[in-house]
Amino acid sequence: MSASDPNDSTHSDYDEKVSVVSEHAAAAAREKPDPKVGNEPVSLWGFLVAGIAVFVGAGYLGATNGGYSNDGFTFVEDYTVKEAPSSGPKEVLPPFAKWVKEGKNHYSAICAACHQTSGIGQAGLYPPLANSEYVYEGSERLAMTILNGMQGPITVAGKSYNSVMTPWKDALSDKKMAQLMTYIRTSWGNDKLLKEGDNGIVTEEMVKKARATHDIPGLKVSDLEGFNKNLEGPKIDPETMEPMAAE
Amino acid sequence: MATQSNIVTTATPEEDAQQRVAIDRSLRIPVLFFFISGLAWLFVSLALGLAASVKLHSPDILASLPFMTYGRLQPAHLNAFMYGWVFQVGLGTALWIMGRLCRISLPRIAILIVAGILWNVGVTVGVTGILLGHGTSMLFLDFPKGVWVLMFVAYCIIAGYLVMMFKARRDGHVFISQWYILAACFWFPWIYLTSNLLIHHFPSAAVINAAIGSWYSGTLLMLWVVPIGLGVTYYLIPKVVGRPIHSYQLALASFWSLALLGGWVGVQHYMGGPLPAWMPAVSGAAMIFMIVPMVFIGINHYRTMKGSIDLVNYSPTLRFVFFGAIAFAVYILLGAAFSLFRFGKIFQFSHGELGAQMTALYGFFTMVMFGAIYFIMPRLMGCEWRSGKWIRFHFWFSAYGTSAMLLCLLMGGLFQGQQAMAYEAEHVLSWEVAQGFLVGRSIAWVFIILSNLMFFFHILLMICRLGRRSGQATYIHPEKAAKEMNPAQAQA
Repeated sequence: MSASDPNDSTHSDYDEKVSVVSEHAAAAAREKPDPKVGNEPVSLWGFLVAGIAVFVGAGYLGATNGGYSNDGFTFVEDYTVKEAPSSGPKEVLPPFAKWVKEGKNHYSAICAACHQTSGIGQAGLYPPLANSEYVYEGSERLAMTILNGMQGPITVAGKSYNSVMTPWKDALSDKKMAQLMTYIRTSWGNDKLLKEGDNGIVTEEMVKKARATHDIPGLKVSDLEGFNKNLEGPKIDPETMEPMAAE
Repeated sequence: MATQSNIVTTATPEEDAQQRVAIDRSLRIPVLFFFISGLAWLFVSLALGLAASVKLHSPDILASLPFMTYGRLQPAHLNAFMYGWVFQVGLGTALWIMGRLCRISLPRIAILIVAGILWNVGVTVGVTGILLGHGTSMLFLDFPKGVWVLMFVAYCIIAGYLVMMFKARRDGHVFISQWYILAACFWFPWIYLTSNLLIHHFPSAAVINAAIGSWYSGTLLMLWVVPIGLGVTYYLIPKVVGRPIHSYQLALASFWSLALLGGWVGVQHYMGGPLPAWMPAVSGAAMIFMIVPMVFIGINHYRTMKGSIDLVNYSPTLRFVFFGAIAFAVYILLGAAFSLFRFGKIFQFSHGELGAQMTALYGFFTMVMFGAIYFIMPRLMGCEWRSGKWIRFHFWFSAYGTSAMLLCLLMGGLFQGQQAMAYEAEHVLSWEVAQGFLVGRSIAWVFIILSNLMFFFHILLMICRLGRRSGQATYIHPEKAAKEMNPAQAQA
């Protein structure tokens, strides 16, 4: 390989006689002319692929544009997952289970922070709802407490508690509160302690009446005296959630 | 754009070369300015990127420092990368290519340098502002309110130079690269001004701000990063292989389809969100249509290189540009896939989206710019790159780093997105399932940083004129090139 061989990149350095000008211009001097554009025909398969892309894109646009309306927000119906995906066919809950499940949702959202998910409350502060006489004995006291909140000490199942509970009458509709009360009264073993003939179910009408009669701001435990009974209303059949036929 | 003309330069090859040397000399200071400040920001941005990546899987490290939190590091990293590195290296390369293609020297550069300094001041204030907690949390619009005015003015001056160079061109022939660079000069001010005015100064509903933000981050890639990257690619490939671009018609079709579609993309990021359904639908469709220019460009590049594909083994420029061209196709295909509802609902808001963005910014744009720097620096400095081995190191660590990053972010995004859709599951789970891939991403960052440390050292020698004193280009495999390359190709 000679020194003049253009491919000889291993023999790289200039001899001293080479002029500085040509040396500095070496990179610019050796390069190929500035690029031009050819005029070759366009290949057919390029158009084919492009055509498929246009087809897919246009189909997508047609399927998802929501009619170009400014009111349609979500362009695919099943975008938000509303319920847990299940492998089998969708289970249809019986009316009672559905009523209680809604109640459980309200409980998790509103009550569980203090009274705990399992209804055990917190020692000294928040009384338990599980195995609590204020829950299983009669629904009226429970309704009064939820509507008006409670201040001051209370003794539940032999232990005393002292804290403040906020009133919930503005936050809960009659239906929500009925579902919530049904859930509380039939969970954590309370259903076993209910009085004979009481199935724990609370209806919208019962709550409506309680709301109308018991507006006691700053309710204390002494205000509950004499209301150790169930709210008035027709008895409900848990199978159908309809009022039972008179016997 | 001008019709294709077949003006044959009457100058002899010697006169031609002398003209090129004169152009290079006049552009040396501004191009070097943008390269050096761009590289400094690349360094800062890579460090911030690694820190952000580590914080995502080990948040307890330096947790007491407010600026060392992921919420500040990640936007600081992305904005330093975009406005510090991507814009400056892109503008430097665009200036050089514009000078070469218009065949004019740049006699007065003072205002250009002042604009460059202004731009850097803007980026410095912006990135510091983000780290101090004044970011706006809009992707690529994170700089504190008001900095954009400075950046806008600086950009308009620099773009003004490019436009003036084009107007004063000596060659009647307008090459494809000039279309793209000229278009990017005008597109960026349009999207930047619109987004900043509508978000910061005339805000409407917050939801609309989010839509504008996503439109900006989509169009910023499609109307600035992509055209500049493609302009450089269109110049370098035929220049190195010494053949004309395959087809004028294909180039024309791909340019205009990009121009037509590029301004619509971005809002598909919020598919299924509280926006009128047609907004993400139109954006998603535009992103899918983008496959058309991608295919046309791919055919054009491939046919141009055909027969000279061996040169990828020797020419550093072609090697990097080749990788970038492939990454471009990957980016467009990923973008189209994420626009489809089936994939989009999983990858939306996941690591996968960042993976696609990094493929565009590093895999495509940065790699093409490395190729351009390998081509331009010897012409500016009058010396050759020191070592083919170092270039190999730079290439492979970057190539593996960016590929590994994409894979980790895609897989992590897949797990994260699916977990995030699980009904009633805790949100933190969706981060925990992707943890292993996030560690992988940090390792990929280390690869990229190693690669660039090598490159910084190499280019530092070039800037100090400590390159090889030789008339012979530095090949990736010098010994093999000496044995196997045919002399006609040796000029690459």
